[in-house]
Parts: sequence; C-alpha cells; structure tokens
Amino acid sequence: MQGAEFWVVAEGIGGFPSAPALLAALTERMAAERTGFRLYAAGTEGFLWDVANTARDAGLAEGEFFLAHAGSLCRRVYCTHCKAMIENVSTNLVCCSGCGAMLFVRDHFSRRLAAFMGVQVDAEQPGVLPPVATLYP
Amino acid sequence: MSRRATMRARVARVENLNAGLRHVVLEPEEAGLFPAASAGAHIVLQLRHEGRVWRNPYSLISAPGAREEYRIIVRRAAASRGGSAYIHEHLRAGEVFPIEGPRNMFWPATTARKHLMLAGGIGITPFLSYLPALAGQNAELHVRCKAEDEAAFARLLAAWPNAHLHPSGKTAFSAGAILAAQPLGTHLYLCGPDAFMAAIEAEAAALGWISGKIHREYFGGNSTGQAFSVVLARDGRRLAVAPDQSLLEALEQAGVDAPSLCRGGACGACKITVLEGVPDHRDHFLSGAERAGGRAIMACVSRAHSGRLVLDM
Repeated sequence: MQGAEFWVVAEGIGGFPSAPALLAALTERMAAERTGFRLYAAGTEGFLWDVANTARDAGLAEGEFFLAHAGSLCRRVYCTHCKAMIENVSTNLVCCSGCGAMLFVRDHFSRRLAAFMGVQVDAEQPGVLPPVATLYP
Repeated sequence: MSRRATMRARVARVENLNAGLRHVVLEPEEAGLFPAASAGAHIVLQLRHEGRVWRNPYSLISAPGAREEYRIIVRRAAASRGGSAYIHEHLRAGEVFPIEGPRNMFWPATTARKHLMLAGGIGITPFLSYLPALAGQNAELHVRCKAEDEAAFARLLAAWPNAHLHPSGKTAFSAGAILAAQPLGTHLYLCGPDAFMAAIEAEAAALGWISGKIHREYFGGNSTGQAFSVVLARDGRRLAVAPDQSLLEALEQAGVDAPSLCRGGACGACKITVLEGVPDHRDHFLSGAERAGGRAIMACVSRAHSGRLVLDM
C-alpha cells in the first residue's frame, strides 16, 4: 500500500514537550496529508483517545487509525459534577481538583471525553469512604 | 408487486439531449405533489408495451426536495432489456404509468469533509442531484464521458464550476491522480459502468482508501444473456427466462410476488434460495462465500450457468 504513516508513541518521546504539543503537531501534519494516510498510536488510555479524537477531527475513520495501550494503567478521571479532568489517577478514589468532591473512579470510559467517569463516593453518607486502594498502577 | 407503494405519474415533456440521451420530466397524474426526494434518490418506472413489462430504476436529476416534477435522463442502451429503447422510441408527453419510490441507497455521507464524485458516462445522473445538495460544501465532480456526450453533459453542468468533464479521445483521465490528491476526510462516490467502477475501486484500494469511505451506485445493466428456465419448487411451476429478460422480470411476468428494491444487484432484497443448478452471479451483494456456495441468487441481475435453476419459492 502506498501512503504516508505517522507514528505517535507515548507522550514526551520524539521531542514534544507535552501531549497537547504533540497533538497540535499531529493536527498540522494531518491537514497536509492525503487519503491513504495511516496513524498508529501507543500510550495510556486517555492519550490514545485524545489521538483518536484528533484523528476524527481531521477526517480519519475507523480503519485509518490504530491504537495500542502501553505503559501505565493510570486513569484520566472526569468529574461528573464539575467537569474537571484529573490526570494520572492510580487509585479507586480521588479528590477532585475542581470541586473537592471525593470521587469514585468508575470503569465507565468515555471515548469522546477520553476519560473515566468519577462520581462523588460519599453523596449519600457524607464522610463515609471505602478503603483507598491502588488499582491502576 | 402488491406490497409496493406506487403512484401514477404523467410525462410532462420529453426532450432529446442528443441521439442517445433523453430527458424525461414527470408530474403527478392528479393534482398535488410528489414526495420529496433526497440527493442520490431514484424512482422505478413501470412501463408496458406490447406485452412486455419493464420496471427500470432511474436516478432523479431534479434538485433534492423538488416535488412538482421528477426529472430523469435515460440513455438508450444498445443491447438490453428494451426499456430504454421504449422510452426513446415510444414515450410521449401525456403518457401515464405507475412509478415506485423515491428510494435512496446512495446518499452523501454527512461526516465527509470533502465529497469526491467520479462518474462514468450516464453515471453522471445521481450527481446532478448531489451538486445542489452539496452546494457550499467542499465537493468535486469528475465525469469521464464519450466525446459525443460532451456537449449535452457540459450544458447539464454549466452552473457548477466544481464539475469537470473528461471526454475520451480529447483528454487523458487519471482517476489515480485525482484519488492520490485528496485530503483526509474525503469520501468517494462512484457511479458508472461496472468496468469503470471496478478500475477506480482497485486504484483507490491501492492508494489506501478504506471501503467505508467509498460509496457506489450500480446500473445493474448486465442482466441479459442466455435463456434458461427456473422451477419454483413450492408449486412446481416452470418458467422460461428469455435472453433479454431478467430472472426477476420473468417471475413478475408470471405473477409471482417476488421481492425487489434496487433492481441493480446492490441492495439484497431480491435474494432467493437456490435448490438446484448453478447461478451466474452478477450482483454486488453476495459475499464471496455465498457466491461459491451457489445456494443463493439475486434475481434482479443474476442468471444461470446451468440451463435450469430450482428456486425455493
């Protein structure tokens, strides 16, 4: 097959200071690419779906980009109360950086938001928390 | 046939665009309006002449949403089932007949960033409704045509600077060069003779186009051939399929209520189980495994390699 390829390996590699900088460069690159282009990404869950959403915004469809999880299982958590994003969460509970609520990290993952859902864990019995455990090292 | 909704249309006027192309304008027989059609839609004309019945699909070239009239263009096919010859030789203003539809199996993709339309010859017709629907969007039409059709097609496309004619013998036409130059997010729409579409699909696949971004409208013009017979296993009836008649037409002529929709080998509605005999598959619907298995046939276009087929109906 002809056509260009673009490899996106985990954040920080390849001289990009941050994932957003890498995604901005990817957007610029895709604007100049032609049909037949393939995109391959490897990294953590949130990063992968940031790449997928960037690819979709550029017009790529399923079958034109490929994602592989690599590295940490840590989660990006979306606070369903204040919409804040909390990065690099490795525990079942996390304190929201936006509203301060203690969130339970659910397995529910949004591809659109590229994040796992976090819901207040002690809404019904304030202050009553389950034990904290590191589940996503 | 009874299950299909039809309405009656009157020929408002006919106009020859050139020796081989006839523009037909239809209006509702009764006062009122036709149903609105979307870009890429087609209707089926039910025509009768000297004992023959044709039910031929034609793309609407009227602007999407137009309800006062439906417009089509019919190419006179050299060797075919005779419907187009009837339209060219006999159809007159004032004639009334049933039409089915409109239906659409070839609509523009709403997620496309750019629409690339490639037409071969009379495959231009569905794109005449695409052009107004895609006005203001990033869209581009290329039509490969015979030199004799250039003038007629140029008049049809005069209002569209994003439409390009490539008459054979006068200009080179490289689908590969066009396909290789498309930005990400482009969807490809193909309509034309089978060989035209197959060649472009092969080039697109080699350039890395995914099938989900390629949309096809087939003519289904290749449904004639050697005569054969079919036996309807459930009641034992034996029917002859004439060389210039499709299997579906033979069933309909015999009064069998055979299902059908696109009549072009694309939609899958007319699939029939084959109990005996070897089908000559000419459709674009069955999978490779189903073709090899030989236990199913698409009645609208496919025929028989064996002299006889036994059908489960």
